[in-house]
Amino acid sequence: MFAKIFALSLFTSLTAAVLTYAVFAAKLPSSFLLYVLIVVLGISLFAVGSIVRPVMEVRDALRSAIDYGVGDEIEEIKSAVERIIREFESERRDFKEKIAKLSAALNALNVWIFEVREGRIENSRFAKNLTGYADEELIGRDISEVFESFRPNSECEIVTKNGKKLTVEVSCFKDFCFAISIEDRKRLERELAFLKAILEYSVDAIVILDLDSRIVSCNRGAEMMFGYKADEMIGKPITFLLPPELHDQCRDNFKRAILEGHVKDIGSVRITKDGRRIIVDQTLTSIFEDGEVIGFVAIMRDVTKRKETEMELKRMRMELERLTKEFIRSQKELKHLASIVETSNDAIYSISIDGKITSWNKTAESLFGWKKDEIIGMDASVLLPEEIKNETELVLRRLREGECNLHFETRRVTRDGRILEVEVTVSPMFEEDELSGFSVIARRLDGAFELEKKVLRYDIERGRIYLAESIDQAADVIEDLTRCGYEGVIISRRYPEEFGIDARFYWLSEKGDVPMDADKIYDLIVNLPGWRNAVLLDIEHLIIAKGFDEVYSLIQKLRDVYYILRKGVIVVYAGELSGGEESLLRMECAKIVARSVSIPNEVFEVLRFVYTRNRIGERPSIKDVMNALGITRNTAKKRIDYLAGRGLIKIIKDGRSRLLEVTDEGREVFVRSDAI
Amino acid sequence: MLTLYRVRNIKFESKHYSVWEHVRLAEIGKIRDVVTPKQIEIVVLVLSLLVGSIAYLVSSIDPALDPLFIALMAGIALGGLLSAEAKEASQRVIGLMLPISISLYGSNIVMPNVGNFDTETLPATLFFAFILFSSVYLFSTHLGVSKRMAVLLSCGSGICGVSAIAIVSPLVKPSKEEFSASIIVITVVGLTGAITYPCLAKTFGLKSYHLLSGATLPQTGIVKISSVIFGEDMLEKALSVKAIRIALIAVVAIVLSFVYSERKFYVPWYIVAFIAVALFSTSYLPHEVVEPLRAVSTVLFASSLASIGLIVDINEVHRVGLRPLAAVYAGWSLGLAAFLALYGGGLL
Repeated sequence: MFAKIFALSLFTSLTAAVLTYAVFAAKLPSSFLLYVLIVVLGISLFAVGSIVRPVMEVRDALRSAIDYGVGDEIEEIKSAVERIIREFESERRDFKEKIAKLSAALNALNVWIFEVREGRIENSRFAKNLTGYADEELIGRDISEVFESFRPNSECEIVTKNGKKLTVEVSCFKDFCFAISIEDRKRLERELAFLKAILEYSVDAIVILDLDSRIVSCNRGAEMMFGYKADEMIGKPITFLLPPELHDQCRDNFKRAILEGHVKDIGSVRITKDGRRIIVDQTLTSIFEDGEVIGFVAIMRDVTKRKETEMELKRMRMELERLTKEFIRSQKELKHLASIVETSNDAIYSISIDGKITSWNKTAESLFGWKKDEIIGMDASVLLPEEIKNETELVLRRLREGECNLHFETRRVTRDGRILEVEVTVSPMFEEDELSGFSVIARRLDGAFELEKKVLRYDIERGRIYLAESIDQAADVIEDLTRCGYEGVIISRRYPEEFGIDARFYWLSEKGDVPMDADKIYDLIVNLPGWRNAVLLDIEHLIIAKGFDEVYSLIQKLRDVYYILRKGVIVVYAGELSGGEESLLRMECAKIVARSVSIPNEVFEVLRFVYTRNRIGERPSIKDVMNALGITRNTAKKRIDYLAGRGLIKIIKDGRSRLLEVTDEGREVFVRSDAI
Repeated sequence: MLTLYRVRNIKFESKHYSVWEHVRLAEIGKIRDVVTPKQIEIVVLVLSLLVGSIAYLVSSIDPALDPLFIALMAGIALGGLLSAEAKEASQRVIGLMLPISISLYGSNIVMPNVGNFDTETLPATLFFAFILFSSVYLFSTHLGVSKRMAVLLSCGSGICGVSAIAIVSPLVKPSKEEFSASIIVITVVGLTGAITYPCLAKTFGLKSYHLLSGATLPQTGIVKISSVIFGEDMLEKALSVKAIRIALIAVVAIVLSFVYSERKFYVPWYIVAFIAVALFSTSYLPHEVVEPLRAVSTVLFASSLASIGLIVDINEVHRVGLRPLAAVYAGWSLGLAAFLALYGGGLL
């Protein structure tokens, strides 16, 4: 700088000297000296500027840097430099302290700082914590002795002094490298990834909300649960998943979450993309940052199926309770029924599908003579007479064919060998829709037969064949029987109009209902349903067609069968026969004898009706008589008056009604006829 | 001056108060005598006119003391005393005065009559003007001087010194320091030529001295002092040669307007007015009008440069260093060498 000042001063002086010499040499006016002065000053000005420019720039830089001015440039620079030195010293102290702190921090941070040149470690600091080696031990070593594969600015593995491998992140700046253990970071990353995976793949819907309850993010569970993609949900308020009626409840839950931190077990309804309503169990938790709520986490679990199952279980429990009550009631009913069965006046017993008796009531004991303990397990055929030993099989077959509540009259044999006429009602018993047996209600019919015999106008007995004198007599007998409850059947070559009675008609003809065949006729009559059949068999034409012997053989067979089975009454009309043939038939058939009653038949009908009703404890009215016999009121009154006049019945006033009752004298009619 | 200081002091005090406190203080009357910016502008304008007038008077003592140079230097000297507010006001005064000054300064231009010159005078003058202009520009740019300052120095050296610099500066838009340094450099080099040329003339017995003086010296005043010692006839010839170069300012101003204009083919109004005033004052206006107009325009121009000087820091001016000075010296030396070569070759 001094050389520069000297050179410029010399140049300026020489210029001034030369110019002054020129002024004087050329004898120029003295005013030119002023010009020389201006020139020299001008040159000096720029020369000084050229010299002091760096100094001024330093001063400006210092002034702009520390804003420190005292007026004089040199003093300014001096003061500034002194201040800079002081500040530099202060900075250096601070720097040393910071270095010390930084060293301590680096030491604590497990950072190893080292310098690598040509594959060798030139310098090393803080190696102990990370590698286990002292810094001096590492200096001069090949880098590959410490690193598995050394790659600057990447993750590498180092082998510590005790042989353990550590993952470090190496950052290099030219030859200087920093190795930082990232084991903890890796572990945290793994944990974070694990937690993220849990969050992402959780089946529960996890939704992050901001303070405006708008969806910020959601997991895959939420996508699956609601059917929306995440992009479709993000930014929308959570209320768009709720039915409008639950919006107020939702707001209350958010208030509670802010005040209490969280709200658990919120049972609520959500609407999916396809419009379905699902029931969710939700937990709403506030997210805090520095003590301020910054958002919410809503975790929702679809409990629709569980709720439905609970409702189904509740329904089933109620159904079970109902069934239990019904069962208890049924048990009571069963006990009641059992007591009814046990104390019934009818004999009641049951038979299994293999024909064994499975139950037996007291009436059955008294009726059949078998004790319950004795009869249980025995074959039911023990109760059947020889001629109907196959009845059980027959009944089972009909029950299997779908018939139920069979009702028929039959016979049973008692323990002491007596044959009883009984009316039975057979009902099937099922177990799991399979026929397991049947019950039998048996009622003795002996009394009924007695009555039947008393009220008929003819002396007719069931199980027998009668030979009629004429076709009219035959028809009259059948009609009388039908009025007593028999099923009328006519088998004849004649036209049905000729009989004039209400009966089933079979026209005996090759082209008719029954062919002229004795076997066919036999089958028809034997297989007639029920046990109260009144059959009119007109064999006049059959004898002509088939001959007497065949017909006679048919009559014999029918007589035997009906005697055994007691399926009803057969009245045979044979027409004109030879003496021998007639004798043969009369040997096989009984004679029809009318009861000797001194009152007209139609009036007897009225008396018989009243008598039969009185026998069962009823007293019929006049109207009942009209209806039962199909006669007008006047006719009924006339006949009742006739009987009342004869003292056979009496009329009892019961309010506005008039009831009829047979007098003792009227009963004598039937007793007398019975005696006959 | 007292007023200006008071303004600064009040500002200095008040900047420590908050806005609210400032208002409150104003209400209770603690802040008094606050001078408005308009008043400061008027003060600066008066000060500039005063300095310009003094410079004009000083120039009448000796032609070498160019009024523009004197006004600028005086402005620089006074600028150190002004407050920041006054310098801001001076900036606004420059914006007002400079275009008017340039316009009126056209009256100082005398359009030369081509027929009055020798056959070699006009081409030689144009040649030397070109040599000076281009060489100074090239040397300046080569030495690392900014392009703006190189243009100012080229115009000052090749055309008409300080006035050319002042006229083209609004077009080129140099910094105030570059502008001031350019004026000082041109003045220093011009005076150097004014001192050395008489010696050369007497040593070599130059017959075409008027051409050397008029074609290579930058300012009219310097041409005067370098030529007057050889008689009024030589002075007349030298000024007529100089008039050719002065007239070139119109051409250069138009060319630079195109070069530096933000829009195509745009010439600022004051350049147009400058050329118009030059043409009118030469052709139509009577001498009685032109002479006072020249005096007024010179005073105004000097005042404008004084205003410029007010905002220039001399510490910043000398920082441009020796390189602009060396470039102008080199260009001038090349022009002188060219003259001597042509003169020695018998072409002049």
